Amino acid sequence: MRPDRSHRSRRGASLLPHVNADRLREAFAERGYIADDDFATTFELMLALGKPLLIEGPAGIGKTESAKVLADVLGTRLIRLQCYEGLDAASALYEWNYPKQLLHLRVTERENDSVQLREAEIFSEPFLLRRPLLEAIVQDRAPVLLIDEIDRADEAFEAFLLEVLGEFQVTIPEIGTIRAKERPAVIVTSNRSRDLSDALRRRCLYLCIDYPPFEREVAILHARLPEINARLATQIARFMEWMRDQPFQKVPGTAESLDWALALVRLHRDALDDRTLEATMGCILKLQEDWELLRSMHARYAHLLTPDPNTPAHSAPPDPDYGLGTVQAH
Amino acid sequence: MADLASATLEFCNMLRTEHDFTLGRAEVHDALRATEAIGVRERGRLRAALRAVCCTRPEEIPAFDRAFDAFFSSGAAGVPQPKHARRSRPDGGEEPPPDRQSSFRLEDESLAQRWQYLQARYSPIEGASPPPPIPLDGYDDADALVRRLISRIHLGRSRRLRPMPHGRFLDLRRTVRASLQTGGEIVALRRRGYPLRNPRFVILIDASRSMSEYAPAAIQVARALVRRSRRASAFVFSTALREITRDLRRNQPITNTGEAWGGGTRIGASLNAFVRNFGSRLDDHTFVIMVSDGLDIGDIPQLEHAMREIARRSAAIAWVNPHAAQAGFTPVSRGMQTALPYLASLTAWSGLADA
Repeated sequence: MRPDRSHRSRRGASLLPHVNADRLREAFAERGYIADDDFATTFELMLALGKPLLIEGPAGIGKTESAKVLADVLGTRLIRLQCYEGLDAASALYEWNYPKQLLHLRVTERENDSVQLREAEIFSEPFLLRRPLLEAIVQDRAPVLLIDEIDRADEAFEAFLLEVLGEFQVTIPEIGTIRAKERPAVIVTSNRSRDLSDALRRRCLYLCIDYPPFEREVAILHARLPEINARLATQIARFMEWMRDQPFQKVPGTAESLDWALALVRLHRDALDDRTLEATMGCILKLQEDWELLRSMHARYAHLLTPDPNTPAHSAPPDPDYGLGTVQAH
Repeated sequence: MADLASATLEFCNMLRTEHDFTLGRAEVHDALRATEAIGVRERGRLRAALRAVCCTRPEEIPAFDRAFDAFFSSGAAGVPQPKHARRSRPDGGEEPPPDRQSSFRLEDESLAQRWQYLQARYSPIEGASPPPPIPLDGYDDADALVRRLISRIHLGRSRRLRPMPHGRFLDLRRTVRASLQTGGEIVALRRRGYPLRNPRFVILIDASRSMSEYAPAAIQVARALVRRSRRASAFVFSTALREITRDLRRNQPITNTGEAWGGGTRIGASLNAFVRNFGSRLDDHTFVIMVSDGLDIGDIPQLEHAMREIARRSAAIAWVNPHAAQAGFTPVSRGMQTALPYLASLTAWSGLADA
């Protein structure tokens, strides 16, 4: 890596291939990620404009996953920076390799170099440890850079990110300014635990995603768990759709639907009933208060479950089929 | 394509002037590049693309969608229209229709929204006096108060390491750099440690009729607070809750308060709405300030639940009650009785002069 001082047009188009939204959507679907039109269009735009994309939405609806899938679709590397409170430039951008520096100073002790020369020596590239942001900038082939849960980092870090996201360049005082050889596709995710600054928002394209509607949730279940039977998938999606309108503290996302569906498939259940729900509640609700709330609402969701096999069949309401075709035998 | 470009320009202009979007030249440029990249394919695509460029937060999306539908579905800019339809327009197809506000709005609004609107208009309890513009007087007092408040709240240490003479950790970077002066020999160790943590603030202001005398001063304090601390959010409530952080930060008059201003008080319901929608603003270094007289016409169990939740998720709750200054005050109103066990402090305050 060498400081690239050659001028590169700042607003130049991305060097990533221009991918059409429909093809992007298909490619995502092939990898089990079912996206809607808005999502695909925004991703197309992100690649075309070479701007970072800020994705906001509740937890567990595939914000992080979208970056992983995008890297796979583009056949490029995913570089991930997980944000946390106290994250600083040394962990995000670069750090000097201090033991190596000290060792080098010790080894070259006898050479009577000037202070300036020694300094230039140990603050040079071989002593540099690259952290995700720098790593993303020096790649020969544009990677996908995922800056995950930016709202967990503090404002100081957000301000620091602006230089990187606005210019795709990094200044290391001892080395100089390093410009991106290829602009990475940057995806920034936030769970909205804190309001992000306007400056950061304006550097990014914006996408707000919500829980998937019923049809898409069914499609997601089928895409990720091909062995699931249609009736179970429908029931899960119906139940989740109902759950998301209830005042739970931690509303389950798609990640929970998938966990739950996987659990049910592994347990060889082909329908949801009361006992199954009780046994697997931990897959969807992660707080004791929420468990109690769900139990207290039994009368309101009972129609979404298959009646208990122990009760006589004729007293049960007919199974709704929601117009989704025949029920497969498992 | 020229059509689309000029329509996009005009649309951006409309968003900026009529809907208060912050669109600078860079955003407009991006909007043009976006329409160029996406092209005339279908309306939904164009909308998603422009939305990605023009919106920066979820609250802006409904306004954007309404504006987009009104502007583009009319055939004014003609994007999804067949060509002959556009050509037949005498004015070149760039003028938005004059009635785009009136004719499209009602169809777009969901039943729920209209219902809320009607409720707000005709409910006998819930008055709807518009909130006053934020007066500028008293701001300095409020600011001084807030500065004192911020300096007095200590919430332990941050997780971010800073150079400190007697910190707990070795600062290798500075140590190595200093050692260069002594030929690579480490003579003095540099250290770093965790600095004191900045608290977060949430201020919830009761703007019901019974508080009308005190709410404006409380708003001043909230304004000082959100401008002093980036980690502060402010809310007003009456029978509903509304966040006003951004209005305060931008120094805008507070509008669209609807049921959040000047009505009766439903502390319980409003606080529950806060916990449900903004619960993530609370964490164990958040200091919550409630400004209310505790005269609640709502549901007491709801208030109890909300107070318990807020207390559990925050560092402390301070309740500021304007009536507490009066001689012989005891917190006997039902609301105060319920809230009392969860409070770190109950303070009297009747205005900025009293600060």
